[in-house]
Amino acid sequence: MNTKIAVIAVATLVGGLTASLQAFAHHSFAAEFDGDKKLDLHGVVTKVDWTNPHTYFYLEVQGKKGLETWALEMGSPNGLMRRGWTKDTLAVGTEVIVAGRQARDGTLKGNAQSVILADTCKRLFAGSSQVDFVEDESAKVEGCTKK
Amino acid sequence: MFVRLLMLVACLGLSAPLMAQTGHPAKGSWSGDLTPASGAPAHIRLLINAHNGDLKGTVNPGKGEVAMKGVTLDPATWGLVVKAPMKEGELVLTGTLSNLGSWTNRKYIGTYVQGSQKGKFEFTLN
Repeated sequence: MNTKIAVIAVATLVGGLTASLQAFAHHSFAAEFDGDKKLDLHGVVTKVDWTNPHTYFYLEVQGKKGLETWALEMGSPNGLMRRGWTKDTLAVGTEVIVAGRQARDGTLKGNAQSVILADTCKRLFAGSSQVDFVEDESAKVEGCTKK
Repeated sequence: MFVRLLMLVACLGLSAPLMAQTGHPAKGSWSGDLTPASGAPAHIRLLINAHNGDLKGTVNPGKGEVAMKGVTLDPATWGLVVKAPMKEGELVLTGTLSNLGSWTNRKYIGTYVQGSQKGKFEFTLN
């Protein structure tokens, strides 16, 4: 009987620890990003990770000191789908204009609020978790001219 | 029965992180520079896909991308050869994959020929 209880306890512990791995990735906006650090990036997508709880994409941007690779956080895959995203929206090589907020620690990491596809000037909201950010569909798309 | 079920759940949970280790070693998006013997480096991107052991890909994916003419990998040496008909002349990359255990720092390093130009290249898996 004691063995049975021990096995159940170990299995529950292992299952619980494993399940908690994903929860580590979930955090509030304010814990990681600075609402006052505006970010405007224009670059080319190099990778997209459709993961929960946040989707990430990576952008090569020509910075003042050379090429920079930014990691940009968006909402969950489900949240993005509800905003009109598909798995093909951001293919590797897509040129985009991103508005968002930078990480507090000043690294090349940001929270994307809107993503504009440079070829079509189509704007998609990125499911930002910033509390006071409003997804205003009627707002003018700025920073893009159709090619 | 209940104990076995619990063990199964635990094993399935443990296997989730392991799934991240699957995939073809050349597959993915690579970024790097072609550095000629003299002159400025040129930054390019490679996108390689694997399907049933066949490798295909594009150079500079997106607008103006060029489909690779050939991608061959020798698993004995991890030697990878990429050929693509660029407008500046056929690009031939001959190099080796290294640091295969890493998702963040996997390298493809070697030498290239493009038309009359020769040089070295280094790509990192994005």
